[in-house]
Amino acid sequence: MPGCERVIRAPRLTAIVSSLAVCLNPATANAHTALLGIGGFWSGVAHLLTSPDQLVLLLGLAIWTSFQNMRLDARVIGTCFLAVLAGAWVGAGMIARTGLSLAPAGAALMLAVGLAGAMRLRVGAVPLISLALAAGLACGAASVDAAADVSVALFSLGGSVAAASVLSYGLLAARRLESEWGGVARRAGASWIAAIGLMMLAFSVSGHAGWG
Amino acid sequence: MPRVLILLLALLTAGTEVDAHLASDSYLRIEIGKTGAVSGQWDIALRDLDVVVGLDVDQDGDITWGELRAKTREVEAYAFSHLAVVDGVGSCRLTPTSIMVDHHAGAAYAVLPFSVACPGGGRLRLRYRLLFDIDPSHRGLLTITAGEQVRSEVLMPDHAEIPIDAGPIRLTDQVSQFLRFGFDHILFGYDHLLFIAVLLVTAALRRPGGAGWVPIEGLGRVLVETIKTLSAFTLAHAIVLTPAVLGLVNAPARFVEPAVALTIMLAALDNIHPILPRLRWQVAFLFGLIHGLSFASALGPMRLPALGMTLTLASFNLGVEAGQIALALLLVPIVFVLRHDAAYRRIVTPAASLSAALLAGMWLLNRLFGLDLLPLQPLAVAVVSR
Repeated sequence: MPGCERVIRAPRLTAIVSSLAVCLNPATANAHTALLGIGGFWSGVAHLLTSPDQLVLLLGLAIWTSFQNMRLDARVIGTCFLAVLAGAWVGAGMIARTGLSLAPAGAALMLAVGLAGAMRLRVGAVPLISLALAAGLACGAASVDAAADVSVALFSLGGSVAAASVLSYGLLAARRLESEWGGVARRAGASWIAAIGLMMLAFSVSGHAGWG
Repeated sequence: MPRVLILLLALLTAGTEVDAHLASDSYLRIEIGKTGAVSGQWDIALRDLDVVVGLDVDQDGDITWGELRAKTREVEAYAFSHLAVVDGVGSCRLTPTSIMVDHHAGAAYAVLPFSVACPGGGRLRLRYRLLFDIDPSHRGLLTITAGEQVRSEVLMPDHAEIPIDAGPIRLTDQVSQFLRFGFDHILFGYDHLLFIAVLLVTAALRRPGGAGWVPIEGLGRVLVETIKTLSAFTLAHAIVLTPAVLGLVNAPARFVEPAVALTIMLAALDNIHPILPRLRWQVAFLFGLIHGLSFASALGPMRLPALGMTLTLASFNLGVEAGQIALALLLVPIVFVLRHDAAYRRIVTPAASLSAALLAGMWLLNRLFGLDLLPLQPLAVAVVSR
């Protein structure tokens, strides 16, 4: 009975669309108030670990790095560590004053690492390290708003350690998926990250997304 | 070239804040006499009072007895506007008597004895708000005594109002309060965290025959080594904590706090050149005994009741352990992934260890002689208060 099918499907579709709409409703800016009272270092750690956009970017970077020579792992982690550290200071000194939005840059980086991972793009050290540097700087600079009332030095150190840790977890997990199907899974994950990046880029250009 | 790089990295990564104990706490003791008369004593850290009242008038970094005396009225006014005792009728009058100075955990505290006069009857309640508006991590360590009965509580923003009686508190409340206090203590005790970090930076490496570092193969072995190290540290400070809190072992903070800094220095220098026992868990255990004495200095002034002491200390230790595990969860994957990289073993590990040794050396000089050797401190403060 085609009519019945339609009657049954319509509410399910509505429920799914409504649920998705609720899930995708942007969170307000009070997401980081819980960081108060845990000190500079742990605020830096907690901020990065509770920022899905930064986590996804780092995970994308880890997936792409896992397709490269294993010797580059340490360089990517080291670069990202120093870049987050530097990014927080740059953010505190410059971006906080100019009010420059990092949303398009962060989303573009997410799109870039996602696409590179999905295409299993094998590159040399320079492009990979450059993207790790850019990703680290973006994460560090975007975090600085949450460093109000705490030491920027400790906050940035916490963020750097957390970023290096997330990359390490990502690399450990990705390097365990060396089989053919594991490679497919990594590429599928990277393509999802590219899709999220593209969506965020579109939203940020139209003024609907936040970064940080 | 590598030596220049090591030095450069060490200078770049050297800490910009020399204050190892950023946790803010005060010790509040309330005594209920046989006739029902209530009196109290409140020990508030001078460094906290300096922030809110401005004790260091000449801005020389030292707060003298004269400076404290000159600001006594302001100190008392500030403190007692953030503490209230109420009964069934209204607010009780808190009258401070003579101000004094005492030392806890190596820091100077203003001691404010006071008497309590209440207008009517009914159950008394305490409302504590000291520094919560500017520092939500501040903790009030409360002890209420009535004859033989003693009750201890940790006051925090979401647990700031309690009834004044010396009856036992609920078991779950006691466990959660001291678990959280232990966790806070390690979160803000950057010297203890740095010691753990110094041990963990080589968690995925071994040094066969005292030669250079070589990677340990397999995540399982690295995890076993890490668990052994952290467990040895926890066991050591748990062993020392009980007799120290009970007063059976009395090590003055002026010896313990520099010794803690020295343990960090030695462990960090050992990463660069072997000077300590080869097994890391032995180092963790040996130095954990000293760190345990430091932990005890936080709980000691509370005069914890003998009843429920085991549970209190176990909760505190578990909180400390949770903080250590949080740090290990951050660091171990990094060192595991980096362990095969020659630059990590030959440059990053020595540089990070040298930075830790330098920072610990500054803490050591600061705690021994009051020297503040940190030129970057004003810069950090300026950025923080931007």
